[in-house]
Amino acid sequence: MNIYMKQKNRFRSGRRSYSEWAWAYAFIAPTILGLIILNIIPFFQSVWLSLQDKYTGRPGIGNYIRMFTQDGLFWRSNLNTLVFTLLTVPVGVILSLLFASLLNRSIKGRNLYRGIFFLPLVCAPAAVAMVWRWVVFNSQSGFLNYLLSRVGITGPNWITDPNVVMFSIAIVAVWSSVGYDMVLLLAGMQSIPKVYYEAAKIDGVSPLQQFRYITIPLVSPTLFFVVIMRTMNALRQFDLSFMFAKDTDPTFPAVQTLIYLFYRETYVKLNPNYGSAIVIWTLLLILALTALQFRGEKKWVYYDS
Amino acid sequence: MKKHILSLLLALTCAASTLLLPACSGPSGASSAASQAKQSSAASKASEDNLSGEITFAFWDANQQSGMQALIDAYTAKHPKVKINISVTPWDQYWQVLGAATKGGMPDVFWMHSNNFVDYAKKGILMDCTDLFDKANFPEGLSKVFQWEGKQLGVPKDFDTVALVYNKTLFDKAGLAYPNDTWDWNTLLDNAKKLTKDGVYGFCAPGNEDQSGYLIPIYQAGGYTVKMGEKKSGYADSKSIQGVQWWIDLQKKYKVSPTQEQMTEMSQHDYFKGGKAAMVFLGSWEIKGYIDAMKELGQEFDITVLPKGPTGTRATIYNGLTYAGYKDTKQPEIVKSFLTFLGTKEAAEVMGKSGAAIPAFNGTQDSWYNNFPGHNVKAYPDMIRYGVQYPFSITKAEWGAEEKSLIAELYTQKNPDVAAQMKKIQQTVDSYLAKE
Repeated sequence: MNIYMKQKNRFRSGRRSYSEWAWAYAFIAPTILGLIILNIIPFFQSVWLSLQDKYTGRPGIGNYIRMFTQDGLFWRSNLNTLVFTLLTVPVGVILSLLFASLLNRSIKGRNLYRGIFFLPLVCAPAAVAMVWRWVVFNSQSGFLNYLLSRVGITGPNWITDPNVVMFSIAIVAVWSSVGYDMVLLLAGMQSIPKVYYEAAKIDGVSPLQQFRYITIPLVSPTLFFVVIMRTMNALRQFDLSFMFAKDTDPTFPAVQTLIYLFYRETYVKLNPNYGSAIVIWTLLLILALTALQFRGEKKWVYYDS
Repeated sequence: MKKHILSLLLALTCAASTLLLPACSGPSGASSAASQAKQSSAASKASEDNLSGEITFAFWDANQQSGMQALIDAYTAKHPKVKINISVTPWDQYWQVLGAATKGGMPDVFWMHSNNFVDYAKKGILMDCTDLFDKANFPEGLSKVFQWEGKQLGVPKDFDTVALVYNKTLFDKAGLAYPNDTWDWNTLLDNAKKLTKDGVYGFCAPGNEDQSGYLIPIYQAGGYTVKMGEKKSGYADSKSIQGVQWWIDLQKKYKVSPTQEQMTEMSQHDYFKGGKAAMVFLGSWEIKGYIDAMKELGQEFDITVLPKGPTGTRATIYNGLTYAGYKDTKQPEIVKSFLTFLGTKEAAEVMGKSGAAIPAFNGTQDSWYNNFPGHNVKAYPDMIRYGVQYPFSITKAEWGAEEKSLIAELYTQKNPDVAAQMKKIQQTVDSYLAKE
């Protein structure tokens, strides 16, 4: 008798539930332990911190009152964060959908292209930001303005103009994330049975209609996931703002996001209580927007049973 | 059977790695110091000469790295079994990294700045250095800055002041006489106007510099910002407003300085070192880097004292750093011994000779300025007699950041309303001072 039959016999003996459950718990225990120690307990600690005043130690909602009524920067950060999200999520998702569908066909060098699109993700975000800031966007020596000058256009001040800098950051953010979303959508697209496309071709359906009526509905679960992840990441944006503007630069009010505000309050001004309040607010914002998206899920996400 | 063993081993590895990973995420200095401590804790209990072990020494200025290394070499010559590892983090991230390190991975010896001293003193993590050096050897003002509840929580390291540096080549080209100690605000402005042409600016007046920027004209006009121990700040004083007004006018009204937006891409140092600005207020801690850079550029520059204010008042902002020790270090004997060495005349002269910074030890300042022949670096220590201590207080971390960003906000306004903004700063800062 081989091993598998021996195991089957053991299960049949009635001790099945206990040993199955034991192994199940044993395997998820490390991750759960990590989650509890590194995520859940610190979350409650943050909530508790945010309810204390830094100087008097008295519990209360003073930090929240200050945040909503006395801090102009807070409302500006909310605006900036939402603007950034609106700029990057639709553009990023549409572009990655486009690239995924283009790279889903058998074209020459397809694997090479997929690799190239994915490349931005293996680079450290800080290094990416530095290169974009100094090499590409620099108004005097950057090559974007150089290319534009060859066509006769004087490029804007990408980094120093407060009206333009948010777009520059959005460009870098989309550039960094398109590869990842594209790979996810590609995987989703490849699980669509070719049968549908063949049937559509026989019926004389145009490629665009194929895309709209076959690809999008069948890739919608993956698309939904991508949209949610992108939105969450956009709402937590910090590293690009940090690399593109110091807190005393004239462009700072235009790029300060919620997490940058948190960073400044906690690590520069050394007030972790107020910083925690900002973080809890960000969490609630993300929760609210995600809940909204889940409500919309029933309307456009198609799961085949 | 084999599959069972394999899966069991995998589960154990996962469990072990989850628990070990948080410990590995700290800086390498901590783990090596910890492992060394286990080996050498027995050895360090022995006499001073048998001191052995490893400690980390953290600071922020890469310009001073060779100086710090020289100090380490001089120390380890006496204690060959001690190894001291340097850790340099740039100023912009130093306090964030150090703050995070207070939860784990704290360096054993590190530089401390008046801005953040009180915060760290309150946390109770600074080693008591009162008996490690002789206070009589250092200027009284500097020792006072790092005192807390009657104890000295650091060994004085250096002091720095701010002076005026000018590009001799550009002055020669324009046919103007070099700045000297007779200059005042008007002379500076007149000369800057004459020098601003052909893509070159006469002066650089960054709005986001405090010690080497807007604080200087505030004090030169006779105003003040925060006086230690006072609950009311002086931003709304008419003389303080006059100071900031002059500073911002250099950029906005007289246009003798690059704009704040331009300086986002190129700092005032880049402008001067690139020969695109003729004058700049410069802290003594930058001098060594400037001399090297200007030599490469092939341009001559020199230093002179700051110009007088409108009423003839002289002022510069000085500050001093201290070496601090981590109270709960795993190598207290080595840390105490190293800090004692750092407070000696020999250490001061080693640091001075390296050109790193002006040593605080009385009488050793010439070891620093003898490094820079042909440059009037003596101007720096000469200004100490009318120097003002860089303002600080218990809540400096909070109001210092707000002061800087509120001043920076002025530069984003088309027609900056200095008086209103200074009143706003005063209200904000006073609210923090009230909490002390």
